Amino acid sequence: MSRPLVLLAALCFAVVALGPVAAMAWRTSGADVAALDVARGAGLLLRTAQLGLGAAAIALALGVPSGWLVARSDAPFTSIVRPLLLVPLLLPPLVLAMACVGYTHWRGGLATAVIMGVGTYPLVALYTARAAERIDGRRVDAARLVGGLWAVLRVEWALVRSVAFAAAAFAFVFTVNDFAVVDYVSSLGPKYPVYADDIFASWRSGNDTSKAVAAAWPLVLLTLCAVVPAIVVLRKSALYAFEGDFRAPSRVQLGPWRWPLGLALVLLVAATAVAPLARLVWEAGGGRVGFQWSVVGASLGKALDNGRANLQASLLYGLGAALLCLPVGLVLGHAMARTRRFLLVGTVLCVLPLCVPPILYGIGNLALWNRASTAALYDSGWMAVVLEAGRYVPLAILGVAAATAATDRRIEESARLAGAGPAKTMGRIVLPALAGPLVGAGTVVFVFCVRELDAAILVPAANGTALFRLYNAVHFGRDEMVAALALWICFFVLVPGILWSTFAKRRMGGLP
Amino acid sequence: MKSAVLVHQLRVEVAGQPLLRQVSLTVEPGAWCVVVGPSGAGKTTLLRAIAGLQPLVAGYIELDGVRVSEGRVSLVPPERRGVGLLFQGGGAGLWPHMTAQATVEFVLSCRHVRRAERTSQALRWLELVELGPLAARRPGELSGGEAQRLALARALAAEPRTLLLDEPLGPLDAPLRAELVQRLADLRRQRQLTLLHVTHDPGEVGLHGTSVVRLDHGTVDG
Repeated sequence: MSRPLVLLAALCFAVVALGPVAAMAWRTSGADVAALDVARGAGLLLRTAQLGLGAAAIALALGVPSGWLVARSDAPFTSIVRPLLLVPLLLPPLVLAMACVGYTHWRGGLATAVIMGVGTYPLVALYTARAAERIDGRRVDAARLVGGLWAVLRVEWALVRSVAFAAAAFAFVFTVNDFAVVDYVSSLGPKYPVYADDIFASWRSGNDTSKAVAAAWPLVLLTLCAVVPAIVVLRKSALYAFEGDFRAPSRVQLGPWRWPLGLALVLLVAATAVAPLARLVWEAGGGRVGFQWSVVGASLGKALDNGRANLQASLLYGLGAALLCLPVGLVLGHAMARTRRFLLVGTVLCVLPLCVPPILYGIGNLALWNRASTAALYDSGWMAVVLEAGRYVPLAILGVAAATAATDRRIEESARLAGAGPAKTMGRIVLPALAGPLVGAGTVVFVFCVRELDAAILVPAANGTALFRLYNAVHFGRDEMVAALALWICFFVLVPGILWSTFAKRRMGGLP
Repeated sequence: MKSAVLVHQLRVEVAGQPLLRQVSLTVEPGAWCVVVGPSGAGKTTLLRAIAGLQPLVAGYIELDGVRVSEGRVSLVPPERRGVGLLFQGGGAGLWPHMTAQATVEFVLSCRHVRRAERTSQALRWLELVELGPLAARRPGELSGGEAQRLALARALAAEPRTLLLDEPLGPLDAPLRAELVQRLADLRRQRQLTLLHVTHDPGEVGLHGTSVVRLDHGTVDG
């Protein structure tokens, strides 16, 4: 890879993605840190950590068995269930919250833990599935020969558990940093204050950026305590995958458990992916007043008319951010996988924008871009694109890095030996080899941008998105139009998301 | 006397493509049978079918006079067939998260050996293949020859009556090859093991084999 190209991409990443984080750090004032109410903060942090652990436990309990079953067993319906397992991850957590509080009387911490656990278990399932598919078939066969199904399960669990726990750590991180779900659930029942609330409150009291940043540092440290070990574990586990002479494992025969476990999978998908959407359809059709399909159509039409500008803004910002992220992701992801220098530090820096509290990331963007010299950018829709690209470019980088690591290095080395320069090697060899994963990474960035809410709350340019409008609307009551708008948002995240699932599956099939 | 391995009119297909066609084979107890054939001949598939890891389409397999597979039906699961398998690729198939000792102890736990006896038995198996001093090492910390010996100890710890060897000498250099062949010959004599050894290298036929079968394009030659 051409060194100037890597440096240029690194510079873009540093400004757009790490700039807001650095701006926050720069704004931290010693006086504000000293003025923090330590006892109150510690209480909030403990409560937030408990919430995160609850969500991570739910994500682990649902994600490990479902991921293993779809990837490694002969349970029926797995080809249908596999893409649908991703749906709860793709749906905006606010939409899951709307369904959860609609179906149940759960409120407060329990409801939030369930919503975030259900929203993040596909992450655990995805990582478990990938880790299980990367176990060499001979290891599985050896276990089967000495101890049958039980020995296979013991060996496979030992090989995937670290990855599953690492994914659960990400579920923890997303939960402790979430603001919108807790805020919405709290608005319907007993107040359940968490740490992200406090950061927002600190900022709202007189738009005091410094006070909010000072308040946020304990949460950032808590996040890093979960993220860094998770990254170390994921790096180590990758070593099991990329040994030369890989033999794919054959699916495990479940015998009499095949149908019961297949049905359990279908029930899980029905409860976590179909039920939230069904609830929205029901509400869009009149709900308690009396459901009618004709009302669903009318509500969707009305929501499209009223929310057209918001939906357009969401799609345009998402598309713009995805297009910005792709070249940076390609260059940095490839460099990261191939050079392997400073990999741990590089990975931690890479995931930082994704793992700092989104509320804080929004404040960082205000601090970085809300100044006279950048007023033209700050006041335009491009600000939303920059915000979203900065926050989600790690997904593109890590996606490309994983795909590059799974691609034989010798295809590039032989091109270089044949006389191709770095640009030609990139354009003619690397790009075609990574085209699928690259499209997949772009799709993921697009989807996550469309469902972005927390960071966008504070940046005026990003207040025109459909999800922001939905967030405002649900606080003023729920009617057919609100449900229909939520359905439109789901449509725009699910269609590309399911397509991504197809790309991801193909990439897994191409593992060495 | 019952044959250690009896394969009759075996047919195996993967994705509709026949990998083995009407393969028949008999191996007497205590014999060292070498199956020779070029790459893609179906040698590994044959071993996997005998071990119960590969479903059949037609034919049957008997081990020590007991029918273990017939047509598409597996009558005896792999773990109860009394076979061990040394996978192709040196230490391939070793569990990367377990030390050498833990690997053998795991096999012993699957055989319901009492916990208190597992360590001493595991060390005995490791001593047998001269890996005693390396008991605390993981597969990634072993050389190719050591990993192959650990794979052998793991297979032997299950006390199989028949040992299936998939290109066992392939990744080893000449001195290690000679050492492994001698070790297998000793084990065969001491434990009355039946060995079914597949290779693409005709040079391995004359080492210790008591019978030779040639496999090509999924069928037995001659």
